[in-house]
Amino acid sequence: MNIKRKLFFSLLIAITSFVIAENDLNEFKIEVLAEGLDHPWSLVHISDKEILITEKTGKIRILKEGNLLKQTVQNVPESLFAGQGGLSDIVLHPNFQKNKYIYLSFSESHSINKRLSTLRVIRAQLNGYQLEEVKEIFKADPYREAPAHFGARMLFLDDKTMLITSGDGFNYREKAQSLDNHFGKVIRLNDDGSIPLDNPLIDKGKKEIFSYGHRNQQGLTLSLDNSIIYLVEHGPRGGDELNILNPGKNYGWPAITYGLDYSGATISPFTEMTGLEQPIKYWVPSIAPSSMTTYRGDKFKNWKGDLFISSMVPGDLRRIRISKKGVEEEVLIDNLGRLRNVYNSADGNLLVLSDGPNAKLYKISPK
Amino acid sequence: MLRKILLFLGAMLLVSILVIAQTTLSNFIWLIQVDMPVTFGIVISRIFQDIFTMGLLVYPIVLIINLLIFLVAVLLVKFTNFSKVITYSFAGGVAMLLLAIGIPLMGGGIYGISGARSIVGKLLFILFGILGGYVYGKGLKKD
Repeated sequence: MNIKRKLFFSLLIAITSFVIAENDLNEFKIEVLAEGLDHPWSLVHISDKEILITEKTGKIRILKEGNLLKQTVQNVPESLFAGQGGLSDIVLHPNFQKNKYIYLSFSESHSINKRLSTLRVIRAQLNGYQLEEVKEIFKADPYREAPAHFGARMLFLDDKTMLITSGDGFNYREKAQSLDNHFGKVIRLNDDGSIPLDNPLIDKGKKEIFSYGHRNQQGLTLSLDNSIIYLVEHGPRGGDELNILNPGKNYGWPAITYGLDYSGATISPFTEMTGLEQPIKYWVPSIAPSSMTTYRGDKFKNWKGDLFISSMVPGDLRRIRISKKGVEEEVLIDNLGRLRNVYNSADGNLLVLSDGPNAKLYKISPK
Repeated sequence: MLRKILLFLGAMLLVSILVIAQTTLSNFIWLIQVDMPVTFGIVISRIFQDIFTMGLLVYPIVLIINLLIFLVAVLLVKFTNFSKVITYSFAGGVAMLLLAIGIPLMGGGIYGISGARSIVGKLLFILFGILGGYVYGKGLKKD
């Protein structure tokens, strides 16, 4: 009798799981909202009907009531569009509706030596479609020779401080382990660019540093209840990582890694070490994770609280569920090419940006 | 002719192995500096592993760059009185200079072979090139 009951329940669970999986795959449709975007990187809703989209080439495009306007946002600071650099992330101040502050991250050339570049973040007031009162919030130190691995993702926390990811600059990976520079770091600042006095490493190096030992971090999101910070970063050849970000922690790059150098060389034979944080998930081979968001909408009840990661190699959208069972992963879409960004739409759907010179903005909504 | 080709391939294999060993070793030197538990056995096994994983990329690159520069050296040797050993040593050095500096410059400053990032690394790459050219020139002299 007991065995029969067990069998019955096992069968029931198997059927139910299958139905859920089938629903997940079949319950959404993909629509093109905009096309002809030139190397888009990020996007943000400034109202229910208006979306701003950054292009690495230096423009901020406006999508208004479903139409991509020819008009662009004016007075955007000049950025360096080279290598992996360009105009990158855009986020709103938590009180944007009142103060109209937006934040932009981008790569910028050195004023004299044009071979050098760095990551810069500015705050500006959005007046209509014009930026005003542009103020520098952060500039990564030192400059780098190769325009690569800028990080450049931004996120506001509940306490109105902001996190900025600053990548390892590709050629400077070892500097991710020292606290006297911004290579391979997550930075924490107040909304005006000042340094929070409770930053975790304030007496040990650069006061802005929140965590270190990162490579090229391009996905940053809070859990549904805002209690956990998730960070996803590009590894080398293999070894992309999903981490839970905690203040003052060392995430190990390049002393520990699950990947090899692009050339095939051993960067480190070690994958773990006392005092260095482990990812909650890693990918070998690499997926090139380009952004991440927590689904907060109501359109897909099954997905609420799940992480969504856009990836560029080979190019797909992944849903990650973190529970007591562990980390589960599902590839939702793999036929749109390289994906640059995934974002919670104001109406509860998901928006996805593809990558490259003739990119599209897609809406993922229930069927 | 076959002997010349084999000699060239062998000399370039030597250069590639040295480049790979230097790159792997430079990574391990840094790991030792940050107190990672590196042992002699790990270093040796990883160098041998990297010869295969890195060799797929490094050997063809070393081969192509040196081939191009050596073709110029062949003409110099043929039409001048320059010594074979010195000319090919010089050619090997120039080829590796291109690999260590020229290719990263053309690639926007990105060092695909990380061993060439430091000045010492670049100098060693050039030295390996000179050695490869020397081995090739010396081998030719026996003809």
